[in-house]
Parts: sequence; structure tokens; C-alpha cells
Amino acid sequence: MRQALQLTHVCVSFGTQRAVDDVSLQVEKGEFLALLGPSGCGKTTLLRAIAGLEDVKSGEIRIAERLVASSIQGQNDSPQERGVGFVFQDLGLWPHMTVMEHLLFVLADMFDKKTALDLAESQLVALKIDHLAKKKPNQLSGGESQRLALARSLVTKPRVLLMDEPLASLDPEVSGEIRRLLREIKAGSETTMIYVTHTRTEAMELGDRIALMRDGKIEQISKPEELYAHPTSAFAATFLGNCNVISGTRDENRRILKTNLGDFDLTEAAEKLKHPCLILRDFQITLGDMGVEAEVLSATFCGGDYQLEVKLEGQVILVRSSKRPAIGDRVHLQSKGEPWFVEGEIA
Amino acid sequence: MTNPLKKFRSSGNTWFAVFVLAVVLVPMLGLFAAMLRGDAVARWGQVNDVILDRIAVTLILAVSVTVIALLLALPFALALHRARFPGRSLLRILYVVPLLIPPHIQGIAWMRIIGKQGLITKWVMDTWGYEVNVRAGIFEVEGAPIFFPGATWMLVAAFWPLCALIISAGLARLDPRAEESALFIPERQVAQPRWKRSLGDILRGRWFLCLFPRSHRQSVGGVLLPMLKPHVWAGVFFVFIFAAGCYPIPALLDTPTIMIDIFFAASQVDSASAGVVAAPLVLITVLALLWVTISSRGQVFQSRSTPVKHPNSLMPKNWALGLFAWGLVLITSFVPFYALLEKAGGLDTYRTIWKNVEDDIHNSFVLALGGAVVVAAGGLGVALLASRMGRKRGFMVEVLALLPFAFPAVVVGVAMNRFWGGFANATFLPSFFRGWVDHFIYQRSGIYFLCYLTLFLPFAVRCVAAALKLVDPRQVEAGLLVQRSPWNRFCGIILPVLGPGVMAAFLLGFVLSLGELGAGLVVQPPDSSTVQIRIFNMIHFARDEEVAALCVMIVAITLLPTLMYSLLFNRKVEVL
Repeated sequence: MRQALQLTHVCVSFGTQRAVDDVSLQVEKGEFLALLGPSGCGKTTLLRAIAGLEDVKSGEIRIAERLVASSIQGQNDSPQERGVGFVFQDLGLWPHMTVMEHLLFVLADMFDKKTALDLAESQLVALKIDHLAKKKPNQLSGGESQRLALARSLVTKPRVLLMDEPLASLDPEVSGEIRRLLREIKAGSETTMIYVTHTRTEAMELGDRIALMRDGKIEQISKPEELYAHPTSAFAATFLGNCNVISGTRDENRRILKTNLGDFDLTEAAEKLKHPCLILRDFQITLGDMGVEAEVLSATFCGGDYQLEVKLEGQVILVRSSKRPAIGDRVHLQSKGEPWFVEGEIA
Repeated sequence: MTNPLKKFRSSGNTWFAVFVLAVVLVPMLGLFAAMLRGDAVARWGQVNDVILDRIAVTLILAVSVTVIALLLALPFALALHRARFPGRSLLRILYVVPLLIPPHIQGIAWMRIIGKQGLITKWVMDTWGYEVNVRAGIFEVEGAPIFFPGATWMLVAAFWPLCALIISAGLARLDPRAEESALFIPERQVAQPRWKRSLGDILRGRWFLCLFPRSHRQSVGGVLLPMLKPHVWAGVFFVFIFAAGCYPIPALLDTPTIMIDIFFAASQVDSASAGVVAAPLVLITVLALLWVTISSRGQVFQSRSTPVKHPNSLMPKNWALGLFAWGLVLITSFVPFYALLEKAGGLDTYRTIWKNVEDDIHNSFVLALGGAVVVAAGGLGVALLASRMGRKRGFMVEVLALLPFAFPAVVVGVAMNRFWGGFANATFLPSFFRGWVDHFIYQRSGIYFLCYLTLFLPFAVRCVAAALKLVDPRQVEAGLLVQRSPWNRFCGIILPVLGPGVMAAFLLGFVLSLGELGAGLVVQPPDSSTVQIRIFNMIHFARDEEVAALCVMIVAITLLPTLMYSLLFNRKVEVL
């Protein structure tokens, strides 16, 4: 399959600070890639570099197999030459234009008036904002503004659509509505989409793959299920969901990890780790009649069940329970399911 | 969100602000009311064909100055905020220099360059044998010239930074994302020859778009300029008002504008006649003020109240714009300054002139400091009152505070003289009150302070109002929850945020008061002269070296506090 986007050893710096550090990745045509990471990890900078809004210090970027930025060749195409669309976090709508004028302004130079009008109208219909054609941005709701920003970016049929936390300021209901819309767009077109977010649920819901970023680097890139089940680091494990990172010591044969939750057989891959740590999601630890004893610190109602914080030999462990124990109760912890091991991080 | 400043109810401030507005506006109203009393028919008969011709010349001059200033100021402001080139940061401080040099000093400096004995005049004469006459006019109608290139250029050189300053303030606050969004618009598919596009831009008055890279033209032309329109109109309005109401430069060049007639009527006839002569121009400027204020209401597309750092994507390296910006500042700031320095000669001239005018400089300095205090305090009071009012009433207060802009300095002087002179001589008032007015206002520095307050209050209100927008309502609301008095909360929470705005108002008040001439010439009490009046009088005695040296000293005194403010507070004078 053709590569829609290819980054090779891309670095972006602001003064002495390296915001994006040696990032390489490939995105296939029609793929939806979610760039996930905490605030300040460089995901927006990476997106802006792909768009041509930030200069690449080193490395190269190809869009649809065409070189658009290369530090070696001294090439740096302008955003308009890259054939990408961009949806900003704060949308960047044009306050002096109506909804229809937004699209016509984008299309004016590309097509004759009638074609531009037809295209604009069909795009507005597709995004269900055709009834708002004469309104200005200050007359639109959050969701409608979001649809307009999407319409403006999609109307030119970009090769790659870049979205920078577009749902960050929306309430959950409208956010869900726009996520459904994005899924529809994804299903109905071959546009490649890169979506920056710091919300794991958005990334897991929308992304064909998730690229998890940390300190300017890509920590792990894989399908959501794989990233969740088999994280390669404690950071990836904790960022993707509630989980416990439990350190321990190996036995003489180096095949068993002794932890305060019990002994666990190391997998073949885990045996090669220098300092293996046990990864157990909160639902992988339950309360039972047997097992190690711990003290309940807190219990939070989560809809169907409770999430407990329990203290086990000085470490706070997250546990799921169908019952609500009293604070200070002594409970017995049992683990279930396949354990997973990652390299322990030395502080 | 409810404006939490409304909760700072303070009757003291309300009365103070009302007092300030009354002190500023009542004398103006008094002057125009006087025109309708007595022999009004005979008085209005003064508005004859000659006066109408003078008004026409004034309007042609003001409009041409405005258009040229806009064509220079807009690309200059774009260069400062949407281009990268060496020395840009320095330029952001230096470009206000012409604004800090009083117009008559600018005029004197430019006379040294393009006047009869000017550097360029001599060079043109020696090279081509052509005599340049800076006072001459062109495009005659019925034998009288109606356009004066010399005066036009001097006014442009004096006032273009005002337009740039206002546009610049708008540019610093526009939402960068709206502009970046336009960078993604694909290029024209049907190729259009570059010359054709450039010609189209030039014909539409957007010549500077030719200086931008192709990738940024849609962002600048289609998004930035429309969003900037309210600021452009505000800049245009200010330059028009200042150019139309400027007395010193037309007086220096014998340009037949209405300001000469107003001054003549004030000094030779009576104040009400001066008001009659000024009335048509004031009416035009008041209407322009109302039109600009009302039409730009709700049209300011600023997404942020604080200036934002615009990303490099919106600021491509642009040598062409850089050269243009540096060239403009060098021509309008340094060339006239160099001409003054060159004429002043050695240090002896400075020593001599210092001995002669030491008292006047001291008096001017004290008057300017006092004026700055009055202007800043008045601006703070009125801006606070406007912010505490509802939308409609706050808007009314703002319009009232802006109204003095419509009155030329000479008219303000005439109105103040008439009003306070009337008080000093009103027999129906108690004698101690008449004596007090006569002693502290009419015959002393007080009348200068009142003129400064009237002339520069709009600047101060704008400075403080801009700073008030930076006060975070949540901070104020947090302050409301603690058990402190309104005064403590004001001093502890609002005033520190307002500090730079009040400081800017003080500084502008100082600089503008120091350079004020038009009103000073009219109200000058017997024992109190200013250095500007002294310079103006010295010109007529052809003491060119001393005038030049004095101008250099005044420019230095004016620039010093401004540059110190910029460096100490790391702020540009973009508070308007």
C-alpha cells in the first residue's frame, strides 16, 4: 500500500530545547493515526512540522511519497504546497466570514464560481451545517464551529488531514457527536488522518493505530488493543489505563519475579529484561478470601463497580471490586489473567 | 460573565470621572453655545467663501496625509508583526520616535532638508538647477493652489507612526490560528501571470502584498486585512484628525489651512468668532469620530486581550519588508534629527541656548510632569467608570472621553481661555473664588494642565482601558471572596495589573504635554512660557542654530523617559 506520510529522523527545536526528537514513522493511505501523549510531549509540534508550520531541524518528511521537507536537501515546502488540511485546537475560524464564505474563500482560486459553490454546498450538506451557511462564527455553537472547521479543511480533499486536539474544548455530548462524524468521514473517504490528543479514550476509539509520545520521542506505536495489552514501558502501560506497576526481585534461575503480590513466572520475552516489572491492570486484581492482605485507603464508585486504593507493604495498589469495603478494612488481594512485564524505570 | 469590576462600587471615582469629563467638555460646549448668542447672524457671516476654501484646503491636506500615512503605516506594521528581518525588535521601539518629536520641531527639521536653504534643495539646485519651494502649492483652482506637497510630507512624517501604532496594536492581538488556517489554501490552479496579480494588488491599494511570499498572500490579503479593518479605520481617523487640526506645520509653511484662520480669529477678534470659524471642521471631525466609533463597535476581531507571540509560520524571513521598514524609520526619524544636529553645530551653541532658555525648559518640564499626572489620573478615573458601567452606558462614557479628539488644540486653547477667563471676571461670583480661579488657573499653570487634560485624556483612557482588559475577572472574583475592603482589593489586585497601562498614560501625557504648542500659544499666561512657545517665537528671528540646538535638546528630553520605559518594562508603546 502507498505511504501517505513518512517521517524519517525528524527533529524540531526551539532554541536549545528539542521539542521533537528523532521521530520516524509511516502512515498508510486512508489510515487514522492518533498521536497520544501528555501535555508538552511534542505532539502538536510534530503535527505542525508535518503541516509546514514549523521548520524541521533535521530529518525529512514525505507526503504521498513526495519530499516536502528535508534538512539535507534544504527543502521546506510551504503549507499550501503540501496538500494537507489542518484543524486547530482553537479552530482558527475567520470571524469576518460567514460559513459559506469560509468554504468559498478556500475554493475561490481552485475552481470557477459555480463549481466552487456546488462543492461548498455539498460539503456543508455532508457535515450537516448547510442550514447555517449565512451565519458567522460568533453565531455558531461549539459543535457547529467544529463542523465548520472540518468542512473548511476537507473541502479541498487534502491528502492528509491533521487535527490538533479538536475536541478538547467540547462537552462530552458534542464531543461524542463529532467523534461519530469523524468515524463517518473516515469510512467514506480515503483521506489519511493524523489526530493529536491527550485523551486515551479518543485515541482508542478513533485510531487505527496509536503513536504514544513522550519527551519528543515516540514511545510506542501500535494498534490500540496491542498498545493496551502489551505496552513496552511502564509509561505506556499507565498512560493507556489504570494499572499497577509492581517491581520485584528475581529468583536464582531468573525465571520467577518475586513481588509483594506473590510470585509470577516471567515470560520468555520478559526473561531478557534487565529489571522486569509486573504490569497488572486494576481489573486484574480482585478481592478474595485468600491472597496477600492489604488495607483499604479509598473506594470510588465507577458506575458498575468500585475502584479501590489499597495499601500493600507501603505501595498503593489499584483494585476493582463489586462491593464497597469500609476505609481501613483489611482485604485479601488475588491476581487474575495473564501478567505482563516491562523494563523497570530507574529513577 | 458578569463584569466583576461592576462590584467595585465607588461613588468617589464616579464623581471624580464626571468632574474630569465636565472640566474637559463644558468649556467646549460653552464656546459653541457662545456662537449662538449675541449677534449670531453677523458672526456666522464670517463663514464666507474664503473660509470655505480654507476648509477645503484643510480637508484635501488631511485626506492626502491620511492616505499616504496609511500606505506607509500598514505595510510597516505588517513588517513589524508578520516578517522577520535583522533589527526588527529595535525597530519596534524606534518607530515611535517621530511621534515623540513635536510636529513643529519636525517641521523645523524638514525645513533644514527641503526648505529654501535645505540640504536636498541645495543639492537639487546644484545638480539640476531646479529650485525647490517647499511652501508652494500645486493643482490650482481659480488661481489658488489646493494641494501642498511640502506640508503634506511633513505631516505624513510626523503622524504616520500614530497610524502604525494603532494597526500594530491590533496585529499583536489577532488570533494566529485564523491566519495559519489560510496558509493551507491550495495555490491557484489556473496560472495567473505574476505581473497581473501584482498589478491588481497595486490598483486595490494593497501594493505591499507584492512584498510577501506567494504562500502568505491569501493569509494576509484574505484573512488578516479584513480582521484588521477596525484598527485600520481607527488609525486613519487619528491621522486625519491630527493632520486637520495641526497648526504649527501649516503656520511654518504658510499653508492656508483653516487652523491659521482660527488662530488669527482667536488672537485678533474674539473667542466666539474663532469658534465660528472652527465650527465646520469640528462638526466634520465629530461626525467622523462618531462614525468610526459606532461602526467599529463589536467589529474588533481580537481573540486575545494580551499580545500573543506569533509563530514563525506567519513571519517568514522578508528582506524586502525589512528594508522598507528600516528605510521609512531612517527617513522619518534619523534624517530630520541629523539635519538638526548638523545645523546646531558644536557644543557652544547648546551652552548658549541652555543659558537663555533654562527657565523655560524648567517650566516646561514641571508643566509636562504635572500634565502627565493630571492626564493619567483623569484617564484612570474615566476608564474605570466606563468599565463599571453596562455596555451602553460604558460606550457613552468612552465616546464622551474620545470627543476631545475632535477639537484641534487651538480651539481647545480658545475654549479654555474663554471659559476660565469668564469665571475670573464673573462679577456675580464671590470675589475669593474669582481670585482663586484667576490666580491658580487663568493667570498661572492651571490653564495649561486643563488644556493638557482635554487634549490628551482620550489617549490616557485608551491606555488604561486596554490594561483593564487584562484584568482577569476570576482574579477579581477571588478577591471579592476575601475579607478585604474594596480599596484594598483595588490596590492589591487591579492596580498591579493596571500599572503598565497607567504608566503608559503618564508617559504619553508627559511626552505630549512637553511637545504641545497649539493650545499653549493661545492660553499662554503673562509670566509662564514653555520651551515650545519659545522655539516657535525664535523661528521668526531666524536664529536657526539655536533653534536647532534647542530642538535636539527637547527631542533628547522627550526620548529619554520613553526609551527607559521601553527598556525597563520591556514593553513596546503599543498600549493604544
